[in-house]
Amino acid sequence: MHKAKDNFCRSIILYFIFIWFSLMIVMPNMLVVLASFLTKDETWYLRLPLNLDNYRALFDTNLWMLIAKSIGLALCTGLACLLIGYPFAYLIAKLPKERHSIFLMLIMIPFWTNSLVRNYALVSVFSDTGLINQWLLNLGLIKTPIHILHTNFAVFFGMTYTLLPFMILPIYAVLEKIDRSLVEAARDLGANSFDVFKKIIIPLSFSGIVAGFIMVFLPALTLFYVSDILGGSKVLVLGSVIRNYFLPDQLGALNANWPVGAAISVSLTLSMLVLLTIYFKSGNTVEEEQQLW
Amino acid sequence: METQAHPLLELKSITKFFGSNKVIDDLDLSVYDGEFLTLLGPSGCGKTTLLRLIGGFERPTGGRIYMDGTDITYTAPHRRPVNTVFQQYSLFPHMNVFENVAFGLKMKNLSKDKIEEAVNSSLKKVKMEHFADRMPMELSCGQQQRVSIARAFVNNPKILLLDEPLSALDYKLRCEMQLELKELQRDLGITFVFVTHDQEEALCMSDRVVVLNEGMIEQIGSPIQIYEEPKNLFVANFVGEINVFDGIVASTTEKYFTALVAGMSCKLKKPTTFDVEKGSKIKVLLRPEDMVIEKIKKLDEESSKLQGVISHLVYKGRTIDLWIRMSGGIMVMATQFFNEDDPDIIYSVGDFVDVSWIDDWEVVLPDA
Ligand SMILES: Nc1ncnc2c1ncn2[C@@H]1O[C@H](COP(=O)(O)OP(=O)(O)OP(=O)(O)O)[C@@H](O)[C@H]1O
Ligand SMILES: [Mg+2]
Repeated sequence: MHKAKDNFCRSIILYFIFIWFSLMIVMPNMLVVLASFLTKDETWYLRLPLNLDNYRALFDTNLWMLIAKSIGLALCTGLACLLIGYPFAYLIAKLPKERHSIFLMLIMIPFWTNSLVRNYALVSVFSDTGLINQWLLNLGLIKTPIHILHTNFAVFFGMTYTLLPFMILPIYAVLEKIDRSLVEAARDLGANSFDVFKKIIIPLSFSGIVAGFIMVFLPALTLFYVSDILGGSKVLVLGSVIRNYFLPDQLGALNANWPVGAAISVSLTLSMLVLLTIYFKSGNTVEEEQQLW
Repeated sequence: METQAHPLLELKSITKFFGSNKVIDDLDLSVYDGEFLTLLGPSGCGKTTLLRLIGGFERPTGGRIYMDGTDITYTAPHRRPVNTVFQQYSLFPHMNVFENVAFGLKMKNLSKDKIEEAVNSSLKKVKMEHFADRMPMELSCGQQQRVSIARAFVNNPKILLLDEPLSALDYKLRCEMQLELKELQRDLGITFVFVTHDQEEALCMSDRVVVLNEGMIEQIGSPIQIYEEPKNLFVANFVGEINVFDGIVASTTEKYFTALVAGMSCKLKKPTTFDVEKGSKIKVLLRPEDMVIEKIKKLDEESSKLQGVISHLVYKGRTIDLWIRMSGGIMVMATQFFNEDDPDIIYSVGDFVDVSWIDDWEVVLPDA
């Protein structure tokens, strides 16, 4: 009896997840794919006939310049997150176990505030009349406000700030699993702290580094609102490009081109998929090893 | 051993607290060059802690550690001429067998040729030369253990520390490895400090055994001394099975004394370790295999021997274990060799028996 009931509940849940997944993830993506093969329409945005022309937009050199810029920004963000996040994760993992959750909480709590709100908060820190400039002015270090807002740096800072937890958490997860006795074994065999770090800790946490990097790099390509809020009118991320094809611009002129936006979006999704597949193909073996171990 | 001039390693009044928990209590211990020393004790008695103090992974709360006369109490692990074989093997999962064994030598910046030669020869010593390219996860427990042993001794330490290295292996493999380890130790001539809670393992491998209890040394001695002449009840009980009888000294002569043991008058040899006085309470300890059992028709109230009834028996192949309920109510365990030619050996539950022991094989301790 119980078993039948359990099974019933389970299939309900599974069906629910399945339906949710289909409606919210598969369907929209299929629509985007479909849109990328349709033709632009002034009033309805989309119309037949089907064609491949939209993908021609991909060969635009301006777009490639933008993509390069966006990748550059995403790489810098990833690197900064790694440089800040790794020591952070390492320190937490080294603390006594009871204290881990407190520090993880401190990292997670900002998550509960919408990242949009947090980036707006950064505006009031960076702006010409913002906190930083006021301090510097009050301290007499500068005479006129320095422009931080609407610079590449501001966007880079916002990205790093927003995405840092995605670097810390996966690295912490691997570091935490490293058997302490491996470190002791290395020390026992004559390794100093630096050797231990280089030969044991880094190699054993490499899968976490890669995972963290992917989890920072990919969103950093598309987080257009950070660029919008902190970067002003500059188009710095690929996400903004796509967004601009879908929204009429501020002047009211109908600039939107859904099929081209969809085509770029599909291409981006596909390249991400390829990257992720490569990662999981190589990453899974590492993880399996660790689990078996 | 104790007469040897210089101990290789000396622990002097070592005390270790974890918080307010005293784990090692004012402990003195000398380890001599080339010996196989075993730390034996129940779980939680501080064996691992003691080993970690020697390895440099813990600092003593009080006391000093000397190696060859040099104070190494606060020397970092990687600067001590000591290597450890960890209980969980702790092989580096991202390195193959060769790289694991080569790790310590690489840290010493030896030349590539030298490293290769040393690694190969030590892999050969543990019969793992054909596994050099394997990753640790592709090895069985026993193989991993061999690699971790090779990884430690390839550095040619003055002392090799082994923390229950065989406890994860199954019984047969463990017995094999015990022999191999002992052979390896003779072959290498390296001092081994070996930790175990298995008394059989301790007895069969060691030159000297240190029996630990609650952070203190109960007895140090050769396996024979530990087994045959336990200094106190703890050692007697921990190392093998033993029967304990209460006794009261009745009278003494020069070499012998008589005592009332379990209600029977017995003539016993005077112990050398303490004085027996008339009326003092003693404990008489006897190993099960030192007991002599004789079947009788029925209990005899007048008999001058201890008598009892077999209440339980366990057949063990070559031997048979008998539990005998004595007239006084206490239980005695006796191990008899199985002898097919001797019909007397067929015991069964409910049989009446005379219980005695081989003269002078008893151990007499004062009743604390
Ligand atoms: N890092 C530590 N912090 C606090 N207490 C510890 C620590 N390490 C060991 N202890 C305590 O010290 C005591 C001795 O531990 P130890 O590991 O030395 O025992 P052991 O003899 O090796 O036992 P086992 O046979 O179970 O391995 C135990 O009571 C243990 O709880
Ligand atoms: Mg232990």
